[in-house]
Amino acid sequence: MRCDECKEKLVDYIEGLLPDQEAQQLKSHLGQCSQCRTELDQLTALGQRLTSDAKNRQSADVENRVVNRIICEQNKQLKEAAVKKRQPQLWRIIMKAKITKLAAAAVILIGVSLLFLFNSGSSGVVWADVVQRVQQVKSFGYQMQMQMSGEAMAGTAASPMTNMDFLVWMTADNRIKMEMSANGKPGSTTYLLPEQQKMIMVMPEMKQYMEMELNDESLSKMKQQSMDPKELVQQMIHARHQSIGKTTLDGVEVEGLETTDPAIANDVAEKVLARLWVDVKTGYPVQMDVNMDTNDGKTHIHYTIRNFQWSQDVDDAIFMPQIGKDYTAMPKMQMPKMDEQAAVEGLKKYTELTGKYPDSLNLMELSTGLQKAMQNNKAFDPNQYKGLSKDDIMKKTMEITMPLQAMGAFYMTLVQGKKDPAYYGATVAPGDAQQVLLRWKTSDATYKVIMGDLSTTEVSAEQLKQIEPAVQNPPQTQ
Amino acid sequence: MTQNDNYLIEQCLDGRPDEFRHLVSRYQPAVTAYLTSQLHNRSNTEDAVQETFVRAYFGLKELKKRESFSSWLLGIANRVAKEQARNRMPLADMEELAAQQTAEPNDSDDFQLQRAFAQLPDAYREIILLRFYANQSCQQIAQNLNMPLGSVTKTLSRAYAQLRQLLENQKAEENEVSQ
Repeated sequence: MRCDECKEKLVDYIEGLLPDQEAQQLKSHLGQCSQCRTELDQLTALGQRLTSDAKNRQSADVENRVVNRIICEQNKQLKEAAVKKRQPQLWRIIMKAKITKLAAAAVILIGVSLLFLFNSGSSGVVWADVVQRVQQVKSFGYQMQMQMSGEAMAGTAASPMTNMDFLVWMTADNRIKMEMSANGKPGSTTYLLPEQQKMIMVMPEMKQYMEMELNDESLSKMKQQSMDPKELVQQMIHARHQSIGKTTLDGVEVEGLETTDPAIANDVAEKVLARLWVDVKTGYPVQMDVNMDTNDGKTHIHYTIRNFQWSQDVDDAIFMPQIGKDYTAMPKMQMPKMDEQAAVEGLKKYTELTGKYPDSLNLMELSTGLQKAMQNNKAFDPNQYKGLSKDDIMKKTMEITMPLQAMGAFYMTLVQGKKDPAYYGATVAPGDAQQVLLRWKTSDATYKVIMGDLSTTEVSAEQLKQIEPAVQNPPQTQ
Repeated sequence: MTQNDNYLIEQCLDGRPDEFRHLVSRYQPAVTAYLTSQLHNRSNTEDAVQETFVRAYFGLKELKKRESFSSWLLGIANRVAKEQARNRMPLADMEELAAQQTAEPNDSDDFQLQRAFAQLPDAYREIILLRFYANQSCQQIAQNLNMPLGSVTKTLSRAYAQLRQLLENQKAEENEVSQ
């Protein structure tokens, strides 16, 4: 073997990769050639030097540190994933209960009903007659279609677009029957029976019904807030409006007016366009269209009210609840009062769930804000809802929604009643006894105040000025 | 050994991070040697070594060819080194380097070898890393790098030659300085 051949094969030789015969030849060459032997020694020494350097790099510390970092990181990721996964799931459990959807619908209805309750602006001569005419009606019926789209609201998270249909009968003594269906599926029929101080909600599809007791106070509040298009007509006409001329609707000659006055949707929407069409011959309203953007423009609601039956006498039998013999009663609910106590209870409930006060007492924002805030609240344990029966989930759901609805409804009455309410939830921390959380006028010179620690007190207008935050944080008054 | 890598990777993917310890132990010298050659700075290197392994762990599901774990790992180390180099202020590096040079030399550190190693072309450095620092046989390297065995030994042979040359050059320089 020649030296150059030998040198070329040295690495293979060291690595033990040479076939036996070649290895033998190389070995015998090495025996004779000192230069190649030196070459072999140097290569072996370099290999040993590299191996020893590698050993010096070994450190058990690195292993531990890497594994610790991995475990930390993994735990963090798991926690984040669990929070992400768990909380919407909780909300899904709550929201899967059909009753919640109905409760959410009720929230919307309470909100919508507000539209009917405003008084402002100046009235036109002809339109004033319309108001008078509809107010003389003893009972009437109408159909309402409502579409909701955009960012999901509480209770409608499942579908990007919700269609609700309502068929409503009302009497002058505030008996109401409301059939509701959502996305074409039959939902519920709700009866408001003031004489029996009851509200009954029947869900034929589930063969269930629920009774809610109403006390005098909640009844009178409900009367105030009933979804009465008569009031909407009145309000439309009294708001700043403009005539949009005459046209024909379903073969009837109608005259319309339009308003974008946000007051018409106070506490419900930021942007409103409402149109009212009145039968030119009879002077009765024929159709109403309302478009509203709410929830910072993320939710769009459109509803149409039509098929009014103004002059028809409504048969009393219509208001008899239709409860099948095989229907089961759901846990009896008590309608919470819509008063100062309700506000305190609602605020307490909200902080229990979210760890903070709601930014706004607007019902719409309450329901959307609640979901987000619950997800962000680390102290809230969704496991408490695991393994509950359907009934219990409903009960829990109602325990959450009712106080909040009552609180929102109470706040609405303050706004509607022009009680000069102001709410500071966005800046006041729970438990802060020094800060005014909510206040409203109780008489010309006095205000009721709920402080950050939920204590209540009555103060004079002068005293209020001293304890209320400075004007740089304008309060929520709408 | 590659078989074993495969098994350990499987365990890690099953959510047992402690099994990753064995992979760290096996490849830490190679990753450290590589990062030292790239970063020339000890504390940076230590951080980068950890970062490389942590990223590797969380990236395991993206590793397609498990028998190439070691070269994939060196690829991650390469990216980490580049990021570190980009984010580091050169001045801070210089200061640290100066501090290191004046500090007590660590007896176990073979600075000459490390310097020479850092100057090797990538292909040679990789072979050396896998052979000596990851303790792989030439057959394993061939499989790992998808190369014929003959090419591996030839490359290793050239890597040796170049490394020796670099070490000799260093020695000559040092002699010049001391004379």
